[in-house]
Amino acid sequence: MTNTPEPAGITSLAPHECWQLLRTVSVGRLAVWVVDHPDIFPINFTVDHGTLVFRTGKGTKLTAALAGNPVAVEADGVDPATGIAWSVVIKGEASAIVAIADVLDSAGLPLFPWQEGRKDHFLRITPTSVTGRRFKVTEPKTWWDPMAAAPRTAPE
Amino acid sequence: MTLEEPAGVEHLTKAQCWELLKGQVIGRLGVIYAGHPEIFPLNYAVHNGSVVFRTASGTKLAAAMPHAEVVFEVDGYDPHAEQAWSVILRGSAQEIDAPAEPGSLHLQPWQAGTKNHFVRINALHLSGRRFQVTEPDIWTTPLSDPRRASFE
Repeated sequence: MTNTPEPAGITSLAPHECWQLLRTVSVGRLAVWVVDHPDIFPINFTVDHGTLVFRTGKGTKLTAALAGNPVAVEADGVDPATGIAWSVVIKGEASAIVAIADVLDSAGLPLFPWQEGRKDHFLRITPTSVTGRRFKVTEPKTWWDPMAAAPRTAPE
Repeated sequence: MTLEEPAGVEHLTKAQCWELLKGQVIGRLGVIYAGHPEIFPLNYAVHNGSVVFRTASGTKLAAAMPHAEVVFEVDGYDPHAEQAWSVILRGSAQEIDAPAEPGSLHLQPWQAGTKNHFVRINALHLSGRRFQVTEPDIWTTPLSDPRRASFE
């Protein structure tokens, strides 16, 4: 094993793989721009025809998501059997679902809000980019070895 | 910040937030890069009252430097109490010299590679909340304590 600066074992995922993985989880994190700083909110989302849909009440999240700035959603997971982790990021713009038929459709989606309270707003994120990667979660000791900047044996 | 706060939401004290932060190893960093929010999971440690993480040269570091406004979010779920929590830390990211004893930080990366840059988030705002989840099933995802699952 050589001391290569490029991390080995990282695989970029094709869009269809990203969507497939997104369908396996329902919790993600929404990154938005709030006035003068980035902010992150955990959300419960579902995949709907190549878009992400989530519910929210009034508040910072709604205001920021609809402010016209781009948003990003990240979801990740680990296969406990293999230690292979994945992370998918959707970037795009959020829009409120206003058409009645759309809201009824979305209400039929398996969406559970993260916490109780009125969450009457349905938001849809239409992606402009879908990226994902898969990588092996490293053993703790491999983290520190590169600091020694010395040749080392492979941890495997 | 929120206009209407639903019932059952417990706001956490700063001490509680730090306790929760110390108990986790993976969080999500949000930065604005080229006018677009970026978000990625990373491994962190709490050191001298701030969040420290390691990174390689590249998007993460470039996006967060120098002294960029960042947000860092960590959340978790207690299956016994069926309570979820989320802690948000906002501040500026700053590259620091490697600590004298970096091993004491117990920083473990999520993926392999040379990550020789230490970054500290100087916390300006820290807030957290805890609440009963409405649908416990949604938490039984592969996210549920991946570290333990993969290391033991």
